[in-house]
Amino acid sequence: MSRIAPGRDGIPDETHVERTTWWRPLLITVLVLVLVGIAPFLVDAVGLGYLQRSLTRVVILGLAAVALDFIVGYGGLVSLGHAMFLALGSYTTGVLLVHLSRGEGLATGQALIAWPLSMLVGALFGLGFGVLALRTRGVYFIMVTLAFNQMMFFLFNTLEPYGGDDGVRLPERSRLGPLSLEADLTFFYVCFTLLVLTVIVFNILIRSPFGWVVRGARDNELRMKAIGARTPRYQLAAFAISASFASLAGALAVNESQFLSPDISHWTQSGELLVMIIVGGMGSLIGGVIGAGVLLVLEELAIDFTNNWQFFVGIGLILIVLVARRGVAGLLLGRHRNV
Amino acid sequence: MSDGVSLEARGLDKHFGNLHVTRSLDLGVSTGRIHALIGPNGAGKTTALSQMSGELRSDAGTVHLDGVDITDIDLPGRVDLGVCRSYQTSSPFPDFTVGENVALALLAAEEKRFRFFTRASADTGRRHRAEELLHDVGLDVDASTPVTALDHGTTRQLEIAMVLATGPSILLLDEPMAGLAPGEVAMLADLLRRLREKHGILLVEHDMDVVFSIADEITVLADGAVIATGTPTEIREDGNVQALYLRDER
Ligand SMILES: Nc1ncnc2c1ncn2[C@@H]1O[C@H](COP(=O)(O)OP(=O)(O)O)[C@@H](O)[C@H]1O
Ligand SMILES: [Mg+2]
Repeated sequence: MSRIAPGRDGIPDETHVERTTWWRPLLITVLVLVLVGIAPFLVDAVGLGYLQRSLTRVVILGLAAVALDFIVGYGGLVSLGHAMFLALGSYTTGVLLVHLSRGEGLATGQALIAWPLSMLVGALFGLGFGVLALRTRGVYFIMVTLAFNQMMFFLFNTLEPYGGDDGVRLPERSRLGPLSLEADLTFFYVCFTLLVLTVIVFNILIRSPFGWVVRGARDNELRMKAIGARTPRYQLAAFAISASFASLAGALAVNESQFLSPDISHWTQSGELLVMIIVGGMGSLIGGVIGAGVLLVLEELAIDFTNNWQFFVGIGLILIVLVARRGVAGLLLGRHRNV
Repeated sequence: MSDGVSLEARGLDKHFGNLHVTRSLDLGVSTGRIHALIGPNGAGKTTALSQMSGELRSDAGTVHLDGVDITDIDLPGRVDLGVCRSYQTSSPFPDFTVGENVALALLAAEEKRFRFFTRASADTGRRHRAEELLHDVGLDVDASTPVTALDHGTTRQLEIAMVLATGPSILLLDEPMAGLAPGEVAMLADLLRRLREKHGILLVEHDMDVVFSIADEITVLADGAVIATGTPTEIREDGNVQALYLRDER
């Protein structure tokens, strides 16, 4: 048929602006993961072996940040409530370990039971809170998720059997099948494996029909409804999936610190996850891992030089966001579509 | 009227605060017909279209599809039933290519359960249908063109392809020709004539030449109320319309 715009195929010249090739995001994802994977040996080689446990924290918080980026960067729903999902995972796994150490019946240290259970608890709470929070959008959504987070924070603080606001030490870590996780390096690689799987899962999700609708609703929810999608259902499922993986990170975090504490549910922890994806690059998934790493490096550097380290971390973050509006991943990727 | 599908609004009312935007509006369209809704800016055309599409709840009145009351069915629900609207402002999804935008409309309309683990772009059947739809509306650009690279005219064509992707029998089009060059308007008018064979079209449009040349029926709105309705000839000769509307326009 005849085409409407005469001449030039109706395409202005900017069509030929460079667009990132499809493999470039994947390449960067793989490179970042490989770097994280060999990091324990790198820090050892340069005499910074004491960073070992911090690296594990990067991996765990990176996993949570990837999950958060799915709902924030791809869903357009800014959650300030993800700390409560971390905490729900921590408490599910931690409580089982506490009872195990007290020699009680149904308790288990088996990761293959405790961690999926943590994810299930996170998903269920994600569904419950999500139904309510998704009655709002935008700033109100942020406030509602924050309110739920505070509610849960106070609830965790009153759990006297588990130390209330003091928390409680866990004498041992979960066991993964027959594998002991007491050795820090072993535990690191278990967490790392789960991070890789998480990154793969979310990369599949954003390319699925489900993910397309979630992403379309981020850009124009009304339009998405006008072409027939019942967007709230998709957003609710996306929120629950994101919550579930945040809870997995929480289950890992309580194993890392071996200390069950309500502090992890403080709203500032939600904020820190958000900062990670902003710094790393929102809507890139791998940006969450980059952001977790950048934050750790900044903290380590600043702590070494000054007592007012948080101030300098803040300055560093502002600089990064000023230089790279789409975060570090944005710098690496150039102009890119979030496919 | 005809033996196709018909969408009919009866006594629709809508207030925005103190503003009475739709006043007991009766409006209908059926397969094989183009019903144009015209009126000055702010007359309430877009609001009426939103009420018929299920996007806005009406304060009073009912909407019927083939006689069945669908007043309580929401926007995606009415898309399922074959009623699909377009918007006055182009709003394709910027993150997707031209072909993907149409594919997104195809899958949004057909998706009845979540599919998490298949690649949306791997469905070659859907991709071909998307390309066919682009071809049908006369948009012959490469489907892999970023949607942000389209000019205004081609974006308007894409909008219609996305509406068609939902498999509608009734199209509610909100100023599809706004901002187009004369040549583009003529081609889009041809497209609407062709679409009329299998669809009913409710057309909100400002271009009077187009309206009078393609509409089977015209309804004139002013301040939310119908001041005239009839064939183009009847409307052209209507004293009220000339006084209240057409004179300012020309
Ligand atoms: N969401 C809204 N809230 C308040 N007033 C609105 C809203 N939408 C439209 N209006 C008002 O209703 C009147 C009709 O608007 P609209 O239906 O867009 O007119 P048209 O499409 O005929 O130009 C205008 O006065 C407009 O300002
Ligand atoms: Mg309008």
